[in-house]
Amino acid sequence: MANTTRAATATVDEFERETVPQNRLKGLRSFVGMYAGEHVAGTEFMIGPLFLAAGVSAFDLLVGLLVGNMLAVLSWAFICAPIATGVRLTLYYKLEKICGPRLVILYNLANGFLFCFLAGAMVSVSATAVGLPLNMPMPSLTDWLPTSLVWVLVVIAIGAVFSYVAARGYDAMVRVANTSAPWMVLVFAACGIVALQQLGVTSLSDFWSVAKERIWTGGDPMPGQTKFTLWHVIFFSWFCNAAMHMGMADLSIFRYAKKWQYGFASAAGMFIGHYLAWIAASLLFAAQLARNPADTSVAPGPLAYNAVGIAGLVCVILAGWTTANPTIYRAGLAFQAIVPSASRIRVTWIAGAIATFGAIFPALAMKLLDFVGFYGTILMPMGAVVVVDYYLLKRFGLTSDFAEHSSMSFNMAAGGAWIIALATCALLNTLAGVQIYFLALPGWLTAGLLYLVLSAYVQRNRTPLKTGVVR
Amino acid sequence: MKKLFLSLSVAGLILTFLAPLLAFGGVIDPDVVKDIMTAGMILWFAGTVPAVRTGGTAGAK
Repeated sequence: MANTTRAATATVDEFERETVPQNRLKGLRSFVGMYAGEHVAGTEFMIGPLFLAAGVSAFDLLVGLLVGNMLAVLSWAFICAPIATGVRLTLYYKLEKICGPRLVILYNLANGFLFCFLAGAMVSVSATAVGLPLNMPMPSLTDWLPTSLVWVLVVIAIGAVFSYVAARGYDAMVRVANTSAPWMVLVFAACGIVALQQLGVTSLSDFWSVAKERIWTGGDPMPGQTKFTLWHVIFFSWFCNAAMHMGMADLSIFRYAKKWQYGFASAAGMFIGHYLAWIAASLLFAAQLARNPADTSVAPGPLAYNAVGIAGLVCVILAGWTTANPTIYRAGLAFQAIVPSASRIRVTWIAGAIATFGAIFPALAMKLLDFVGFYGTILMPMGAVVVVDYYLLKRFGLTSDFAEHSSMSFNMAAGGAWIIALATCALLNTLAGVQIYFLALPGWLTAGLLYLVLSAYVQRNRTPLKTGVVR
Repeated sequence: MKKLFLSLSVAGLILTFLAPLLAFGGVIDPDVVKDIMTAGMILWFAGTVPAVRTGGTAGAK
């Protein structure tokens, strides 16, 4: 998944409070490379098998991923990138202008914690590879608590190393990530091809019949997992990076794009990471089940090792490491934005400690599909606020970037839209039984509508101090 | 030296790419895939890591 990481983009910390100048804009190739690299993350090794555990059918998976990933690309291209190239500001600075600094602190807090737990899932993934030579018992799908002392020790050791590197700054890790990316893509593909052979596919013409009858049979989900249909797959693959596209976090990336059409570069990430890699990882799990139906442990380390040996093990560790590191680093930055006087090294260690604590519990990785849905649902409404502020407020005679123009520290219209949208999602989930995978879209629409209505109310009662600069 | 690093990394990628395809086609034994992929990994990193450390970009995107 993606992870929220920007390992390949060392430039995101520049021009944090100003527009990106013309001479710093980047070409299409930079974006294609970045998206292709960052979506080959450790978590892809978990998500693929979890689809299989969710009892998805072959048609639902292959077509659902195609449709969902296309919708994600269109969201980047038509919603995120045009605003990014229009304002050329980071999401955080844009939100500060719209919402005021205090509301941005709340957003940073939520973002920081979610980053920590995402990094925790990546630590868990790497732990399954490091623990393999130690004969560590691997957690199964229904394990929520640590399965052994060795698991806890391995997770703590990996978390400490990741946190140390993140706290020291991760320039070296960015280079490793860039260096590893093309090789890791091929290892993912190799895992899929080898697993297909292990499943009895000997030619391409065999694929569909084996896929339907032996791999993604569409039966009942495994214990503790939600049954996935075509709609689940579409919505999951569309919104697993919801915080990035419709949630607007990638304003920070596409502000460097020469043209908004570069938003289509996200297709490289979606169709390599969220199509090829997920399917390959799913095939690895299918091969394991074919060997031993009782072995339902989703442990990326052994899965990859059984298919392609040491290269698979190294790939799992690197995929987890190269994405967990910047995630911990960014969580630290989010926390530091809340307490600017705190040392960056100290907050990064705190973020690493939270990530490591989360990773100790296998539930975080085994419930990764749910966590990803939750992550998108929490952060995505603020993207709707940005979209409405950019496109609609002026048309309704209202002022964009109202917090900046009225020197507000907390724009109640934006804060109210976010909180009420989340409350609406919670009600839909608890009272109407809407599953978490489907909450992001209604949350986003609710937040957008509420922001428009509440802005009319708030702005009627408070005149902007300065006018003019909108967008 | 740059050409040497580039050659190593390209050779590593080719091995990593070909090994599973050869096994799928029945040309090599599935167990041999693991050894070839390990060799491919060593070549890839032998070629890319020094190149990146010295400021080159061989193989890195």
